[in-house]
Amino acid sequence: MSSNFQDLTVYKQQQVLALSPSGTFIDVIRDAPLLAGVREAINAAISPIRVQLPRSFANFDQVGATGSRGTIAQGNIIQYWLYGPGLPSAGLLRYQGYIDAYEPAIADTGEQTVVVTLVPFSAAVGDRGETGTTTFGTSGSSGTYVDPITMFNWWFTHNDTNTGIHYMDPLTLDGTNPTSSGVTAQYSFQRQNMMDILNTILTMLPVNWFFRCNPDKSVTLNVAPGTAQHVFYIGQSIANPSYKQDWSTLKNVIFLKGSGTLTSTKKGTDLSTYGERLFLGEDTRVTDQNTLDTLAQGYLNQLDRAIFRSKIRVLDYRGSQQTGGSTGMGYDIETLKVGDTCQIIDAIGASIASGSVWDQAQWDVDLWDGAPPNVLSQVVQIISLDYNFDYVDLELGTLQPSQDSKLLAVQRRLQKYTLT
Amino acid sequence: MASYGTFNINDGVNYFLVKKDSPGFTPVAQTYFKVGRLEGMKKTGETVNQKTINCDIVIVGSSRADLEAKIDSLYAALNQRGQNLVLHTNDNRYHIADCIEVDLTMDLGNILHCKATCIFNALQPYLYSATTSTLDTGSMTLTLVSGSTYTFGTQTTTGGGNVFSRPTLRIYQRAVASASWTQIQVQQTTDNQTITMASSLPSVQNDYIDIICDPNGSNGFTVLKNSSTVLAFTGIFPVLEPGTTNWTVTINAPTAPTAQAVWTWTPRWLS
Repeated sequence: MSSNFQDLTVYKQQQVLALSPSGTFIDVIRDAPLLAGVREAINAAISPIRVQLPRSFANFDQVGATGSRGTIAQGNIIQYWLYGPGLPSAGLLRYQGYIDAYEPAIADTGEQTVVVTLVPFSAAVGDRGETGTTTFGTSGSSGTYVDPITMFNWWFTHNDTNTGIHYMDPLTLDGTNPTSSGVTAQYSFQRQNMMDILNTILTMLPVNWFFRCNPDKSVTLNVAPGTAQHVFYIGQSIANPSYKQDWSTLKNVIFLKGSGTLTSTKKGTDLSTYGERLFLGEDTRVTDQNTLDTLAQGYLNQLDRAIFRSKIRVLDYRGSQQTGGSTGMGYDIETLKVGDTCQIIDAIGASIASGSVWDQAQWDVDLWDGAPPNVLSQVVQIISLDYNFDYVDLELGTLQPSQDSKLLAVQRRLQKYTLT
Repeated sequence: MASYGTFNINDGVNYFLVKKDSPGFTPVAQTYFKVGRLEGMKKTGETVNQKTINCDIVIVGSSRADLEAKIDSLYAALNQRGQNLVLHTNDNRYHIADCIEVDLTMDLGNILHCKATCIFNALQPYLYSATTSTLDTGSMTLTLVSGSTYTFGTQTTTGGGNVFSRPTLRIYQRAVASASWTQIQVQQTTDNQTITMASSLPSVQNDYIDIICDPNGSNGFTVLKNSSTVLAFTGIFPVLEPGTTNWTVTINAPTAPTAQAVWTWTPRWLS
């Protein structure tokens, strides 16, 4: 074992490459800071990042500068590759984006820097959309209904008539995506951006389906498994755990209005527990009763549940000779993906043999005044991931509801789309 | 022997190096995190930052005017950036340093001498040996590993110094006939570091590529063909350990290549 921190049997390293928009290698970005500040979330694009490079205000390797190789130019692709223990020998592509802004500056101290904004290719979900009408199935004719997966895939394989390229170009479908969901629906997509289209498709799918944009420009569509794909132990791999159970945004009665006089009402089975909590929505694009029912059920699946919110920091196992490798202290954070399921086990906390509340504990068996560790141990989903090279911050459970975004969503749904 | 660039700061006549703290170890900055409910900390990485070196130089003159002239000469020398700072007795190992501060005091009654307290900043924390080292395989016909992959065999470098160094590896195509190499892969097996090139490889006799593993300086962290063409690659630029480092260099070609590999490096020291 070497004594230096270049040892890839212990430490993780990054290599940052600059490529032309067509993918031709230009140069290494030698002074890039460690990859950090990347936010990934289910049902969303990967976040842009701003990277500060210690370069001259007048010559930061832009095209045309003396001695420049032209790495800093709009449209150039920047790739972050990781190497180290447990990683592929050819490297792991952890992030890539194209340069969409750069800002050279000189500070009062004389420090010269250039801040480069990198936008991942998954921004296509926000930048693209349907300006006309694309219809799947015929309203009222169940034999023509289409699997929502087919609807999802369609946008990756058909050209936008406005541009002549695929709606989701350059994104591609993950080869491991399921080919069938077991349900079918009819829908007419009209004047919507891709994010709205994809989220509408998710609503048609059964509960717990999600999509994820990956660094290699593929998009995963899948359902979260019921078992934990990752297990974290308090006392071994996580720092700063916290959790919250929240019923305040639960909705158990869904009333959805479609086109004309179409309506659909779905009710949960928990009205006696929580009372009626009504969600009103409208989507005049829906002309088919079965589709409206499917959407209403989808909303009920999404909204009729307590939100378990947990935030944890998971430390990378790499970077220390003394902590037992991938099975010791820390976790292989490079295997964590949004949409994956996980479980937190309190390995060294007070234990209760059964139940999580005092009135279920057994005399002479359970702890009467200890913390209920198995509240944490339910299987939850990684909703978002903030990457910081040596650790990741995970948000688990369901997305934290934003009141503002919910209002906007309701308002959008209540807008009438008049078709002729 | 002590010098800054070409200026002798310990000539025993005009300038006397009376104090130096260069034997100190450059601090290692480790990254720690607290694992919930566990004693101790979890380390996730470490790095070494710049080194600060403090020296005291006494300046002696034959008169006040002569003293002040020698101070001016010293300042002119210390004002140069990126100079070799040599402070060692046994050899000429050096820091690449900038003098960032000089505090000079002239005490009452001391007309002919004074002391300058100098602070040097070495952005690269390790000292460089005054001489470089090489390992040359000579021109050789590579042996078959399997399929179309051929190897130089395991090559072993003995780095010298007491900390890793950053080599340059040059690989020549030595066959008279043009070659059709499809891949060159360099594996530093001691630290599990690999770099691979698979396009625009050497073809005619004496074509070469340079794998420049030092990011500092011209063309750092670059693979160059014939000192001009930048080549694409995958992997990590390897380092060279102060003790033994094992290397496996392979070339993919339709027939056994005739090639030569030359490692060049400057041993480095912690202090």
